[in-house]
Amino acid sequence: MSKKGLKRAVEIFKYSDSEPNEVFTGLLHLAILPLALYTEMIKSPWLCLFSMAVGAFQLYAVLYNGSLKLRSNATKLAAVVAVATVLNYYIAGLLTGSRVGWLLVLIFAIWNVVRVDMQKHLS
Amino acid sequence: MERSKGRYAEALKLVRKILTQLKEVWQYSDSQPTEITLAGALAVLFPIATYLEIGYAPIIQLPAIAAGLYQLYCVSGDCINCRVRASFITFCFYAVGAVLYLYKGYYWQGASYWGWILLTFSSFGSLKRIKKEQLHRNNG
Repeated sequence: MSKKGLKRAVEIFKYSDSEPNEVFTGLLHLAILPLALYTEMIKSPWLCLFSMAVGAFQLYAVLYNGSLKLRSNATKLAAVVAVATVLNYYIAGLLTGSRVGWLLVLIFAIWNVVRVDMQKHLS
Repeated sequence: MERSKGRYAEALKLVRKILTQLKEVWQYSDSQPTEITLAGALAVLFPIATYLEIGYAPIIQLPAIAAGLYQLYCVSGDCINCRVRASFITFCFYAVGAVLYLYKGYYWQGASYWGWILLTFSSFGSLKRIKKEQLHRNNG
């Protein structure tokens, strides 16, 4: 019998494809985050550049190369960028309203790390 | 000249490969994690963010919580018709939210607000994928 409720949610998060979320995070870090930092928090040019590089690397890893090792490294870097983003927004007192969405991106990024690493260990 | 032509062809090949892969990921990968995330964001983030930035609008904020919880309920079960219905409702809420933020002029204040447009696209993609799955199941 298939699992239901919370157990099913855990199963989904453990075993379903993580590629759409990796693409989503990659695109966010490549395009939206630099623009957001530029328009809302101009003081972080390094985070802007780092985020663009990590976003491009993640898209390359998931859409072109496809190897689990590279994808695993890309997800870890993306998680670092996501943590830095949330910390920057929090310190600047801007983590309110729609900007809480960056916390959602951090959760996505952490889940990607867990999911891809799990896949790597299983293969 | 020949060398630059070769490079151009290689770059074109790379772009084509990336776009094909992107289309494949978009069309055939599991949609449940996206559904759970969209539902969670609709039940929690949407009402709080719209309350703080757009104002008190119970006609949108209260049903949004119910719609998010309904989608979570549908994903936790295995009824495809329920998931299609819930995804359609979620897409409608995100589309309304995106239009409200556009109407209030938030998109020109910062790129973080563009996340609502992204969530609208994401919910549409999720709806399209589940609808396709439903059609496949119904037609054998």
